[in-house]
Amino acid sequence: MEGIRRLTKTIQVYRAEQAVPIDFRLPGDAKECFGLQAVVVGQIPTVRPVIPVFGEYSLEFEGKKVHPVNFIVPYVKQQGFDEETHHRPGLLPLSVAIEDNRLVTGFYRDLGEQDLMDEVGFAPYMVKFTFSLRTQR
Amino acid sequence: MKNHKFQLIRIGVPSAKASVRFTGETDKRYKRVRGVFVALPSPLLEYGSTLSLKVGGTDIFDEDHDVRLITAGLGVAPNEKFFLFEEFIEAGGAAFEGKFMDAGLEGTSYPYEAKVFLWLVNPEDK
Repeated sequence: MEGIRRLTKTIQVYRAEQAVPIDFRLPGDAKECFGLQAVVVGQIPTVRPVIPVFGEYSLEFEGKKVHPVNFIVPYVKQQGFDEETHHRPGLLPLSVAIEDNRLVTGFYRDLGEQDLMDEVGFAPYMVKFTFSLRTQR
Repeated sequence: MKNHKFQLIRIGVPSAKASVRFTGETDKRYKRVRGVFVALPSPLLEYGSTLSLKVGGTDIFDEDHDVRLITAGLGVAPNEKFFLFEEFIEAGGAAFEGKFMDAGLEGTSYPYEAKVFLWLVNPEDK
């Protein structure tokens, strides 16, 4: 039976310009990854309400055989939510068939956009990747 | 028979970082869950909050699913606020269960009520 599963993988970022490896296996019933969403979660010290290019990521499927996505993650300050910024993050369309090798690898890199102040320092945050998967049981 | 229903699930969130489970049944007069939309009293509360959802025993959203992926701001028209499901999710009185987790960010106040709306339709509606 065909279905859709939305799988979330969360990474932690602890320092400026850190590159965090991504390495996991998709579930056994996944047949296709048709979309991806990435959001930053955390309270970031910045005076800017929106940072359009806050981090970047790169993902490979099928044990590095398929490299469909290099993209950016924006940051929107909670206090800066308004009609322009308060919207649902869209789905980045992918169309990656999942074969025998279910390994997803890659990295997320912080781009050093936090406004670092001595008394505060770098604010650790999370990035959530949500993979939209077609499944077959 | 009506073809649309927006079924409301009310979730009381008592305190910061609360984890609140909810259960229920979809209206049996409607065959399909077409979409979902979460409304919180402040946009701040959406930042980092998660909602898991299972309908009829099928996982729709996993434990770590960010609420921002299933909500929208005031500037979005009501019929466009909903996250639409590509897959056919059978309603028809199916049991649902889920868990809402508050992110506990500074600057928010408690308690509050999270509202989850299920958009139920009959098959002729796409």
